[in-house]
Amino acid sequence: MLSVALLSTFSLVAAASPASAAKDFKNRPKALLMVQPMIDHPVHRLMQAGFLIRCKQLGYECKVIGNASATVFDEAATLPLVEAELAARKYGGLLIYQVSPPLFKITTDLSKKGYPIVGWHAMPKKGSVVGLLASAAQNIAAAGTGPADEICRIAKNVGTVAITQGSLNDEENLKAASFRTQLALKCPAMKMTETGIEGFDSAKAIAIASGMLSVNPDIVAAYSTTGNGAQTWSLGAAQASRKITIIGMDYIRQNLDLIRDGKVYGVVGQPLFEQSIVAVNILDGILKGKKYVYENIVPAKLVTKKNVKEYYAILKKAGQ
Amino acid sequence: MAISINSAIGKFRNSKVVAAPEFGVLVALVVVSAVFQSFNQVFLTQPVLVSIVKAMTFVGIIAVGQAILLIVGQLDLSVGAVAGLTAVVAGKMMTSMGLNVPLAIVLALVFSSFLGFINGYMVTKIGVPAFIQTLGMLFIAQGLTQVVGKGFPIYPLPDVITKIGETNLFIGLGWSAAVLVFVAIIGDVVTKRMVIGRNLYVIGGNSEVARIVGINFKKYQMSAFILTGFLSGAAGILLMSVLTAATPTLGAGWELLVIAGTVVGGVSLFGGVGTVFGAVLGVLLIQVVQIGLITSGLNMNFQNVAVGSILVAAVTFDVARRKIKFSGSSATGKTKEEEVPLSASTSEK
Repeated sequence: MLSVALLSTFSLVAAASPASAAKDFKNRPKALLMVQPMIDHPVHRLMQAGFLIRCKQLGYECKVIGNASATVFDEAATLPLVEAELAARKYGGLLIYQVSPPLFKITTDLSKKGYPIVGWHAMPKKGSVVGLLASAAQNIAAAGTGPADEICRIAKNVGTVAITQGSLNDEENLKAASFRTQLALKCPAMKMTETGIEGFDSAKAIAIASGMLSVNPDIVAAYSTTGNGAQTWSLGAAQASRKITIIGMDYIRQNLDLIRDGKVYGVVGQPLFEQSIVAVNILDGILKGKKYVYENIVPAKLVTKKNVKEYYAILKKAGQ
Repeated sequence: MAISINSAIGKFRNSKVVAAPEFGVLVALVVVSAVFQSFNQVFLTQPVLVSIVKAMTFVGIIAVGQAILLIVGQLDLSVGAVAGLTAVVAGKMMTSMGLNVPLAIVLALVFSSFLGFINGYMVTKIGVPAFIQTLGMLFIAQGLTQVVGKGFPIYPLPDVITKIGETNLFIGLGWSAAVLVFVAIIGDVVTKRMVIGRNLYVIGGNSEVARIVGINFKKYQMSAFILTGFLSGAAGILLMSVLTAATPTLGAGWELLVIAGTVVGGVSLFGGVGTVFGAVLGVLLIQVVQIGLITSGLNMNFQNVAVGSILVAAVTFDVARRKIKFSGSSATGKTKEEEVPLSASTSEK
């Protein structure tokens, strides 16, 4: 398990650029605000847990804000909530989820009002989001290449792989694209289906998976880029009475249980909990006048039966 | 003493204030604002009030159309999806298709009006229930949004769009607020003071009577659908300018907020009752509640609980108000505005 101390060192890992000296952000209120639409999604809850735990450990008041939904990522609804919260209470710094243009705009607008802002989970090109001082994120493309290598190894270059996404968005599109490229490179004889869109309704998603299996008898494996994908495919395969190798995303508890029970081969352990901790550490450093770097890569491992216990421990630490 | 109290109560019951359709929502607005202000004194400060108004403008613009549609006895569930699709279509036209911005906006609004026309045609000519037709249009529009945008936000948009979104006309309010004020005033004046407006209430109150007196109610209903489509598209384009991107989830869930707001504002789901001004106030009330929960430091997940509760409470209050007002009065149990005035309209073919 990655300890907080180890994660703190990731905060200082330089990528290509030299460390930046922090502007004078000292003597700001001892409170941090995390801005993330769709706050009730289980994957987002895990990210928020990392933020809240580390934020409190460092002695800040901490809050998360975003539209209250588990299925609709609504930046337009989030924006007025952020404005109202910043009008109602004073914050020293902000963590803003850097995954879409409206959130980039919120970042730029709030940085002009003097807030130091750090992002997590996605890494916009340095300088492309004005006001974003740093970001802590995984290498999203690796979330595709790793599973492709593993499925290629297990399937021995035979059969078809089903690919699904929760929805079409920059992050999932990139994961699926890197998966396709890697699989074509490593196992050129394997075929891949068109991307199925699971959506966020479980029953509908399972029907889609089951349907894909029914029309493709040579599917031997499935790769899903979304957090619920492992459940979708395990239930879909059961419904279609098929045994396939399934690799999904995210170490939420339901997914770890599926791995433990042998229903799913593995999930990409996106560092949902850890990257928030790193982001808080960076922001804390900025507020204390320390140097920081823009790019902070937090690694993601494939979670399988061999290492699933580590991730149960992380969830326990996150209170989930 | 008893006589003067009864007289005062009677005067209150019969006063224009109580009779006003917006009375219930106005009282609720004052009470709720006072409650939130008591939790945190920043609630009634300019930054918070401006954020409330900014947030409600898009849904408010659509609520003007939805109110007119409800008054005339119909309903549109596709407003949010049409807003999102229009934004994506406008964004696509002004970026990858290379059209100039004004032309792209005009064509997008024609498109959204056309979607409203399809709804209106299917409901008034073919006879598909509005609930089903517009629900179907909701799914169609959502699907087309993904097809057109391929799941990506359309970004970056031309600079002029960003400038529109960033324009500060007055205390931080921009073009969306200006458009809301404009359409709300026009809508309220038309519905309350013009023959067209009287006819809307006649149709919504009793379409059979409207037919007998010669009102072409299908034409009115069709026009209301087209107007709602147009306003939905306008709201989508305005939000796109604020977000500086046409995102695939733009407008998601707006249909329920619009309907909740208009009903909270006194517009009846059964037609013939309510005002445009009341609908806008209803939308404002819902936004006040949502922001008030934030400034009060309460759990954000109570927003939906609160909105649902306010909806039920507002309608209950209005029902009670009507019972107080109408107990022992006219045989129809309706106010003067609500009774079908047989001489209200001219014949139309």
